[in-house]
Order: sequence, then structure tokens, then C-alpha cells
Amino acid sequence: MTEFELSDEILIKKFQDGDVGAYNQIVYRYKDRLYNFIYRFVNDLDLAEDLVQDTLLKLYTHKHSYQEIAKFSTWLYTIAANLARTELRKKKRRKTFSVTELSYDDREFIISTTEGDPSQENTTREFEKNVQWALAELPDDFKTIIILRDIQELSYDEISKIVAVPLGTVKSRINRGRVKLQQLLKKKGERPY
Amino acid sequence: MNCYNFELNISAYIEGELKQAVRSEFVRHKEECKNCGSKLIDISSMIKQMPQLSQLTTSDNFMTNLRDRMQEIDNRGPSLWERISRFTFFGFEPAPAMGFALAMVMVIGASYLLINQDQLPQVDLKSLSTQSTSSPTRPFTPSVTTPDPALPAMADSDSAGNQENVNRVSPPIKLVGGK
Repeated sequence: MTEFELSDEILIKKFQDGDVGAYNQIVYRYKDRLYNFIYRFVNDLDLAEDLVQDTLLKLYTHKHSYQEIAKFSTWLYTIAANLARTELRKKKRRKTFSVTELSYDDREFIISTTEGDPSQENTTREFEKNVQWALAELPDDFKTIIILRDIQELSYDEISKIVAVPLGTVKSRINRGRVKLQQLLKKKGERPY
Repeated sequence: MNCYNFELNISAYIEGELKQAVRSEFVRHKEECKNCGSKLIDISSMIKQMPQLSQLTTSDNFMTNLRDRMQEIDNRGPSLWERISRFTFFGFEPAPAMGFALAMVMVIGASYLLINQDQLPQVDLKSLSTQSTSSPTRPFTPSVTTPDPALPAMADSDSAGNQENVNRVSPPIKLVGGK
């Protein structure tokens, strides 16, 4: 069995026992997933990368805090969500204008669905921009849950553990968040089909 | 089902979590109400498209930066809290040792307070004494005032005045008002 096939829980156990290679495997497995999650949340590419590093460093320094009572991914997402939320709160308090917010078009994206069709690519890009704008307009509670469910495709149970609210509340927030998001997209003139 | 209830059930409908009875009401409303039907289509399409958003990848120097920061942490050594938590107290684990030390401090403190409470209070008997050593002892004489010869006359005049008041007849009180 190669290390790529090992479960997260086995890898973290190995890392807790001092295997730094296992830590590297976890980093490779999660860095992009966390980056996507945090970027959708803070809407700033450089800040998102810093926060992914902070999350992974927290894992490095607090490896013994993880106990196998929860899924490892849930634990890691909880750290990332907390860091992102704290940073967003700080950012809102500072209310400074960040140049990195304009850098959306300057970065290279991997468009997974629109190979070869430029018009379709433009539509997807437009939709992506509008979704990102609408997500930034959503209240934090709804935003976190929408990103985790509809973009990261986590289960309701995992989301409930990450955001530490009951399952019923998660479901109701998902519904309200989706309705709000659809209203915002409609306001922007976006029909997602 | 009204529009409000329809909106509350959109996600449950899309994810197939609605019970049969509610589901048929939901479907009926969807067909009757154009706005709600259109909202359902929009939200379903949005949910389908969301996971297909661009997948971002971290920059090329992400790993290098992370390793640098890890190196920095390793060079810094353990923090004060980590050093405290690793410290073993006569071979005990830190948490039980700290608990034991705290309990000992509390027992000693409580004992100190109790022992001090049992001691007799320090009283300065000299300051409480009623006898003075500087002046000679004076016999106790109750302070009785001798009546003034002028007083009986005053008393008589007063009582005479009172007698006069008693003899004076007050007029009957007339009630005013009422029926």
C-alpha cells in the first residue's frame, strides 16, 4: 500500500509519531482544497494562500491536538474556517482597500468544464465572477456553509461539525443561503444556465 | 402550500428529502406559481454549476514558503507553554503534578487560616482598665441634684394654669358638610 492510498487518519497518526513524510502527504492532499475554500471565503488570493499556510502550520505545531474522535478533514477545515473568519473580521475592521482583490484576472485558473469553447468559457468566467461577488455579499454564516456544501461538496454531517451548529440549522442555513445567493445573482443579471 | 413555505422547502426538494405529502403539495405549487417555479429552476442550475467553478491551485513557491516557515518554527524551539507542559514534576505527568501542587497550596493556606483563628485575641488590658494610676481614687458619688427653692413656685403656677384650662368649656364642634 502506497502512502497516497493511506487514509488521512493513518497519515496524521504517522505524523504524530514523528514521520514528517506523512505531513508532506497531508499538505499535498489538502493545500489546493483549502486554498479554494479559503479564497471563496476571503475573496483575496494572496491572503487565501497565507491562510492555507497558517492552517498547515497549525497542523504542524499542534499535531497532538488531533484525536481520532472526528474525521481529520473535518478538524482541518475547522481550523481553516476559524482562521478565515478571524481574518475576515480583522479585514472588515480595517476596511482598507486591497489591491490583491483586483488580481482575479491576473491569475491562472484551471477551467475544468469549458475546454475548447471560448464563448462557453466566457460565460463560465462571468458566472464565476458573479458567484464570487454574490458570496462576498452573503453573511459569513451562510457563506461558510454554502462554500462547504455546494463548492467543496462536504456532507451535512461534516459541515455541522465544522461550523459547530446542529444539523437542522445547517440545512436551514443552506436553504436560506441558496435563496439569497440566487437573489443576488438575479440582481446581477445572472441566470445560471 | 404558499410561496413562503415553498421557498423553505426548495433545498429539501432538490435533495430528495421531502416527504411524499409535502412533496406533492410542493409540486402542485410549482406548477401553479410561475415565480416559484422559475426560482426553483434557477437554484437547481446554480447548485449544479457551483462545483464546476474554477479549481484554484496554490502558487509555485507555496511549498518553499511553507518549508521556510516550518524551519523558522523548528529553530525557535518550544514555546514557554510547551516547556511548562513538558516539565515533569518528580516524574509525574505535568497536569496531575500541577493539580497536586495546587491542592497542597490550598491545604496549607486553609490550615494557616484555621490555626490563626484558634488563637486568643491579643487584648491590651491596661488600655481597658477603668482605674487611673496618675490621679488619686475618688469615692463614687451619685449625681443627685438638690431641688431649687424657686421651682415649687413655678410648678404651682403651672398647675394653676392647667386647672384654669380644664375649667374652660370648649364650644361644641359643629360638623360641616355631608347631608
